Amino acid sequence: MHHLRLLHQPHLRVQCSPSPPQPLLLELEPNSMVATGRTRACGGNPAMADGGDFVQRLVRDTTLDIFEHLDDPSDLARVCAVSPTWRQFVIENGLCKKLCFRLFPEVSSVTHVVKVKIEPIKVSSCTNLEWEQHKRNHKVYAFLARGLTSAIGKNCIAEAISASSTHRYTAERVLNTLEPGDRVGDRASYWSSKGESDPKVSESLVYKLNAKLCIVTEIHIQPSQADFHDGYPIYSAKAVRFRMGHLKTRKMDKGTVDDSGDGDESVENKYVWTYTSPEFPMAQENCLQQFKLPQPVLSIGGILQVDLLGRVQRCEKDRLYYICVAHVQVLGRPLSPAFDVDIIDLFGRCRLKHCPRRATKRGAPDLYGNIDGKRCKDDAARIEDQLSQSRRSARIQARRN
Amino acid sequence: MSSSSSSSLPPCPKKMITLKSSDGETFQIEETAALQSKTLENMIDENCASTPIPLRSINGKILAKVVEFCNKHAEVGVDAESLHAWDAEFVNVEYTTLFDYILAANFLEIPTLLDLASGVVGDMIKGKTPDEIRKMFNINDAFSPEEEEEVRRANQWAFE
Repeated sequence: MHHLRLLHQPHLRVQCSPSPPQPLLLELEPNSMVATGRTRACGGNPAMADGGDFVQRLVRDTTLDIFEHLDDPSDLARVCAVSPTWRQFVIENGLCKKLCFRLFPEVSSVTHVVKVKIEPIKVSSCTNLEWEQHKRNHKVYAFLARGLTSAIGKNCIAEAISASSTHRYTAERVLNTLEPGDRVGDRASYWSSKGESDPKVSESLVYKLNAKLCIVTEIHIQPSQADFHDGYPIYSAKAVRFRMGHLKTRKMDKGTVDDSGDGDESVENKYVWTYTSPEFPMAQENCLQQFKLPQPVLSIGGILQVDLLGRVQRCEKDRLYYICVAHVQVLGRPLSPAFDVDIIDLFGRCRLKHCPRRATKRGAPDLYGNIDGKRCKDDAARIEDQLSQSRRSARIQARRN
Repeated sequence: MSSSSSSSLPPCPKKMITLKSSDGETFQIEETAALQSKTLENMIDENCASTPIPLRSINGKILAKVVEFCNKHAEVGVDAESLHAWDAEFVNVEYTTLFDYILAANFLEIPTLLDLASGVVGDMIKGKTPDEIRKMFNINDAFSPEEEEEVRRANQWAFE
């Protein structure tokens, strides 16, 4: 099914005309994301001996071929400033939107599976509705593309929602994993699963990210070492895996956050997962371990689950296997407050909301980590400090053993 | 001892098709090489390739290069690295010639050539200012002062 409608094709079947051909004008239906089917000028398409503006001379598809080689949003922005024809071409063909989909292919592939669809905001009545709509989309997607490509490593966890089991509530609750390091004051700070005789039993921790739209690049996990057990065992997991998704219900209610420690059997009924990472092996070392996702992932919905797959350490007292985690960090970039999403239905369809004014609120960092127009130090450096500190303490610990 | 009959068979003659450029030049190309063009493939499938195929939108100079490209890419036993180097040399031409390649590749539907040539044009645009792009492609249509201001405001970040 094509969304292309030929409006005007004066040079089709024209034999080598002495004057340059008129551009082939194509109208793109507003909702068609990527039009399929190539247009070919058959017949005389005079060689471009004198060069000139190819956007005016080439057919739409070939111009698209050229512009789709641009994968930096700032290149597209500069292309828009070349001439009215170029700007119109970029806007009408939704090149910024296409770039966003290329940068985060999981979004477009998800479109087919669970129908995650990013819809532009409705535009008010206007003289040239379609053009205004294109322009609006262009602005939103240009901004989004820029957000998707500038890397700022922030810890994106807002709160700990639940754990599949908790050994001792509240002393070993999942909330403790938000604290950096493995101690708070002189007290050990960690989450511990219940004990299991079968080392294959997995656990999972669910977190809420600080934005519903978030680019996640890596996850850091520090397993916990028991100072109070003989031999200072480290209760790491065998492997980890990450899922991202959204709530099935529209709003997070009281029943959602369940840090009661009883375990949450209904996790699978509460969330829809739109991304599942590969499995990463975990080392039995007391340091903040880095798990870098193969590609940055655009999390839509702001829920992240850490699956701890398999157990490696038995407690000498009760002979049961445990998993203990001291700290979890999710590194990435929240796209709020400039962007937000509304989940529309259970199938994960959502509407993208762009709120440019909120982005520039005084005193708050904007999408690019600037405060009131000035660059602020992101906490990537701080996280790097934590990483090296944790490596150092792991070395000291190893020597102690 | 007499030679066996199987070794004395002459090699099967290569099937050739003939292309005719807009300025009347004719070019012979092996059918296997021509199959890289979806347009020619369709014509071969429909048995329309037994007589010279007129290509009214491609001149002899460009068609010679296109045939050269198809022949190179149909060669067996060329390693990826040397083909890559050959491709780079092939598109090391004036940009007007690049556009001719693009037009020809689009007409003949040769995706490898289309992607190669349009990628080079894309690379020419990367990192350039609007002014540099205007000069490079000889672009004369200009924004109205209001449009200019709107565009400048919207894209300020890309020029920092």
